[in-house]
This record gives sequence, structure tokens and C-alpha cells, in this order.
Amino acid sequence: MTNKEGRVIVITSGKGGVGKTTASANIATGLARMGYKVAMIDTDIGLRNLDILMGLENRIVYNLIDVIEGRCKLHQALVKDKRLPNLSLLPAAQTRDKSALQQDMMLKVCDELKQDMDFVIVDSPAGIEQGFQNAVVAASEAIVVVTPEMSSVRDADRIIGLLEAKEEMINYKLVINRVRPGMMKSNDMMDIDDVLDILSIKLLGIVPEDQDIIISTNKGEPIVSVDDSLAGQAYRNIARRVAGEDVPYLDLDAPASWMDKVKDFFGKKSRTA
Amino acid sequence: MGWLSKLFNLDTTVPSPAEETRRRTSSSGRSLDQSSKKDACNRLKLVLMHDRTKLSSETLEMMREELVEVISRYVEIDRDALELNLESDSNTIALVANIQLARREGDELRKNDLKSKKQIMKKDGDKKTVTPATS
Repeated sequence: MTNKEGRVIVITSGKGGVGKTTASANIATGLARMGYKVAMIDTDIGLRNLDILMGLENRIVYNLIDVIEGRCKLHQALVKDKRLPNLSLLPAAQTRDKSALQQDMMLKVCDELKQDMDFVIVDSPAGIEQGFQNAVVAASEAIVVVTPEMSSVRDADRIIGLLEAKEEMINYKLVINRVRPGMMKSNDMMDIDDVLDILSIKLLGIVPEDQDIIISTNKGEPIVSVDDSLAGQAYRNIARRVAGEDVPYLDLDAPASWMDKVKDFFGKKSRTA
Repeated sequence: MGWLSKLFNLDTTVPSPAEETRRRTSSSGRSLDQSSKKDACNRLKLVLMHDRTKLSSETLEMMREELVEVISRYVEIDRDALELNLESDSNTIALVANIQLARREGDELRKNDLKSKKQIMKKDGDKKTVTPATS
């Protein structure tokens, strides 16, 4: 907010499909809603999706690779959010492959970007190879997204090992996504403590499984802006914690299990109908 | 036998050991009613031990064979009985070898298990602290 450099935070997971891009969109939007100047960078070259989640896919003129290869200035490539003027997106190139991005170039872009921003949120591609290395190179903080499933937790463990080895990484925390309180209660799913114990990492937040996420993705409006959504509330809390506030964790137990039952009931009805 | 005792029997019969084994070993038609969370945790912990130490089962087997070679130079051991496993408790991963000495005739030593524990890796419990820096 002042002339201080912004914080560069990478959102990563190892495994694909656990909700990295959704988390990026929602955390960035959540921080912007709080009044911070936020830029998102999609580093998933060739498989960009953050623009879709933000509903900005039709506004892209230039992209990250155009900036790197000198076809445009950084500010020209930044796509302003529809609703929040203090939020912008630096999209990935869709027609190139990941070899077009190099670590030193990424570092340069992030260095320039964080001069004007409070937060730079970097959405990392899946995997642990070059794409991941490009995404983390400029970050001093990381948010690891995991679902309470074996494959996701295993891949997150690899990622945490890589983050640990990185000297500039001062802070990394876990977001547990797609949590189903009902299944955790009946011991059919690893619970929050199991995951934290196995990965020995600090918790940033818990996001419940929520069908509304699919609807909000369809509309291109991050769920963090939907007031009566539980997942939205979870992301609002996460954004506040990222900003340094002390926010208690959501009690998913009571409302969610009740809501699950209702949703299950209607879900089953509509399937049989 | 009346229905009551039948019911009583049903409720309290403890399955015979044979039955128990049969039930446990029959893989077909098993229901998913037991809590699967424990399975996930245990399997995951084992996988992560191998991942973190970068020791695959094949590497362990190679080490096992070499250990057999080395120890055999000094003492007679039961080659197939040497077990080498990864074990973990909280933040420590240990490589545990259980080496059984071959029994010699007239040997007074009956319990001749030689257990050796070797710590190969320590996982630090408190990694870099992660308090969100205030802007």
C-alpha cells in the first residue's frame, strides 16, 4: 500500500486438478476485495485457465510470453478485473509451450510487478519440473493446495521438500481443499490432523467441497465474492490470514453435514428422476 | 434352541481363528464398511518414507544382499532371515535390520537375535516457521 515491495506468493500443489487455479483466483480476489493492489500471473504456459475462472478470457490482448519477448510492455499485458480495479491478471500464452518461459525472465517480470503491487499471486502449473521451477523462482512465500487424498498428499510432500530446499522461501503453508466433513467424521477420509501430521506443515485454511464452485466457475466469478457460500467464506478467511489477520477456522461440522444431507437428498432425487 | 438364544448366539459368537483368517484373506466380495482412513494413512506413511529417503524397495533389497555378504564374513547368519525395513515414529525415519544368527549345534545361546538399529535420517520437526509477514 506504500512504497514497500509487494509479496510474491506462489500457489502450487504437485498434483493436477486439486484446485490450484481456483485457489489462486479466490485468494487474489479476496485480497483485492480487502483493498490491496493485487496481480495474478498464470504460469501454466499452453494450458492457461486462470483467465476463464476470472471471466477475463475475452479481454486478453498480450500475455506473459509477449512481455518476456519484448512485444509489449508489462502494463499493456495486464488485464484489469471486471469488478475490482485494483486486481489484474497477467495471462499465460496459450499457443506456446513451457520452454518459452525461463527462470531469469520470470524473476525480472515479478521484480517489476511487485514494485506497484501489494501482492503478486503466481499460479503454478502441475508437476515438479521446469514449469514449477519457473513459478516459484520469484516467490518468497508459497501456498500448497492439497485434497485429503493419498495421491495429492504424496505429491504435496514432494513439493514441500522442494520448497524447503529453496533458500529464498521464507514461508509456506497448506490449504486443504475439497474437504467433506461428513466423510471425515465417519473415518472414511483422512482428516485435517492426519494431513497436517503427515506433511508436518502449518495450516492456512480449509475449504469445503462445494457445488457452488462449479457454478461460480461457469460464470467466471470467483466464489470468494459470493456472500452466502461456505467455500466463499473459507476463501475470505484465507485471504485475511494471508494479509496477516488472525482468523479462527471455519466450523464445517454442523452446517456442512446438514447441508450435505440436503444436497445428497436432492442429488439422489434428481439422478433417479 | 429358542429364538432368543439363537439371537443371543448370533450376537456374541466370536469367530473361530480359522473363520477369522478366512474372512480376512477372502479378497472377493469384501465390503467397504471398515473405515478406510486408517488404510490411507498407513499406506501413505509407508510410501512417503520411501519417497523421502529416496530408497525404493529394490534399493533396500540390494542393501539387504550386501549386508548379508558383509556380516557373513564375520558370523554365520541365516541368509534369508535378514530383514531390512524402514520404520518411522513421529519425525524420525529409521532403517531397521533384524539379523538372525544361524544356530550352531551345542550352542548355549538360544535367543540369538542380533538387532541393530541404525538411524539414517532425521526429519526436522520444526521446519522454517511460517508466520505470515505483515505488510
